[in-house]
Amino acid sequence: MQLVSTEASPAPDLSFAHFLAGLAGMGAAGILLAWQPEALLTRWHPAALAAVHLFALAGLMPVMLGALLQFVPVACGLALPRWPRLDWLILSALLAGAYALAGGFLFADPAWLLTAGLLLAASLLSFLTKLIRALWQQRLQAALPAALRRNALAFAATVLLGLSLIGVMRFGWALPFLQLVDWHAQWGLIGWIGGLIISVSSVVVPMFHVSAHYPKHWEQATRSLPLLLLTGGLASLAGWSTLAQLCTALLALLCLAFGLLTGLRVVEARRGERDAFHWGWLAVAALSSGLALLGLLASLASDPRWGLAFGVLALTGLGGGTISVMLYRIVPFLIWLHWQRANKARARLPLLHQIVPERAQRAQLLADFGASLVLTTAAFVPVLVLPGAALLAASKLVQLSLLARAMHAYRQRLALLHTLPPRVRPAAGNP
Amino acid sequence: MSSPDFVTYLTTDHRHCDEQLGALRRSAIGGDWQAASAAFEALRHDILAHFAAEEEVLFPAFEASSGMTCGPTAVMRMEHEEARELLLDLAEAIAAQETDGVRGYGEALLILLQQHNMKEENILYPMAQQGLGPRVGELSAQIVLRRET
Repeated sequence: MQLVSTEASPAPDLSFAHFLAGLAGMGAAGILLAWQPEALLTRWHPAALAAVHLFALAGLMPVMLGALLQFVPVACGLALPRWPRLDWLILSALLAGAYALAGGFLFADPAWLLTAGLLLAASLLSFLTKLIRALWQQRLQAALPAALRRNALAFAATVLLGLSLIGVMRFGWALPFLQLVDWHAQWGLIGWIGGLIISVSSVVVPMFHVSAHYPKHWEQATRSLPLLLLTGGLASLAGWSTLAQLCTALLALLCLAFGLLTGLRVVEARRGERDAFHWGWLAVAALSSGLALLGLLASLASDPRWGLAFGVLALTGLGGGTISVMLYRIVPFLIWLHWQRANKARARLPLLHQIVPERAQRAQLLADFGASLVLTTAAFVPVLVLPGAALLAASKLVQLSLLARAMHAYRQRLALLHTLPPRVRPAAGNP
Repeated sequence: MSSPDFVTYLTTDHRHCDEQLGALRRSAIGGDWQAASAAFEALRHDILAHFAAEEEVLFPAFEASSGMTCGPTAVMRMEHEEARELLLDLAEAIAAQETDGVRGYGEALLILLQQHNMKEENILYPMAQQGLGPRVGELSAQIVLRRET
């Protein structure tokens, strides 16, 4: 068995590139929606499909993969294989594929769709191979690696369903198109994004808020997530609507329980701070509870706008919002940690909460969650699409600028620290 | 009375130190520097005693049973050194009554300890428990004794 520390995790530059690219992708999706606000009238609008895939594949996906590069070694003690040049190629292919896919939807061009499919298959399946090798090579019995294995399966299902859809559109494969679209969206939004957020939160929330662990029964309940998705999907295909609705109701209950359990832990936090991280996680908890209600309404109501509102809130609120909150924890800590390790001179370093100014974090997160709520409401009030999309793009680009400035300062200071002579400090020895 | 199993004991001690760090930050942010100073002294004593129990009892036993001297324990010792550096920074911030310093170093210490504890609880302790076999009870008693000295 191999134990890995943060020192053995990849250099932060690769993860940083993933984070900046992801924020740019989410910003691009906002700009596209602001340019074509009629896109949200129906989920089948070409610009809606383009914006959704930009947000998910050029936005959320790189950030999630960049975070996993750091998280898996530290949280599970499992080394993700390092392929120095290939890692950058995987990121480039992912971004090129995501933008090509958006172009394919926008211009209804099958050649772009095929190119996108090839690039996305190459990049995502390569990353999946890396993830699966790490997670399955050492069959750790701890809850987190097991949860991440389930998330990896949902990731694989989403990718394979997406590639099948490209096959239907480009080569006319005889598959149930509408059913595949629904499955692709459900496995992507609920299985992969929702599942990963739940897995990571089970570790991150109690640890970083200094609060109680999630109950044992909760961990057992989350194991049912892929099973509910599979059963609900097959029931829907077979026309067993009661069973399909039961699965949806149970999924909504899981989402509601996640929101309540998380909110309770953040409220009872004994960390001693009421900063952007604290309020951000409260917002995530509240959004999850709201999302559960929307999901239930979407499954019961015949009005397709409920489904649209659910998709928008899941993607931009739960997905995009959680990522924004976590980036303000991950990036400053990685910067500080690598400075600290190079700081043999014991020079005074900026404090953790000064690396990205906290007031700027609060303002950006407020805009971020505000944009998500406005865009969700815009499913019913189309005039709100333009301001919501503009606010979303602005908030993501502001975060991009804040983090890019912090990363620039990181490189400059790191180079300086390497030139300073070491200084010995009286040690804090054992009692 | 028999000693608790060292995994449960050290894991509970991790949570205890988290609580103490939270109390220190709340006092400093609230401007009660006397309470902050007392909380810091208790935190420093307990963290350093916890490190001593691991470095002087658990890690050598693990190294002897596994034959690994440059693996997990080397990483854990390095992270202990990083935490000790942060305790020095925190001591300076408390002496100067710098709220901002306590917030920054306190948060850095919290994150550093959390990722460190996660590796110990999920990987190192179970490996040590497995490798030590029937000697776990005896070792647990030694760990408790060193921690509470």
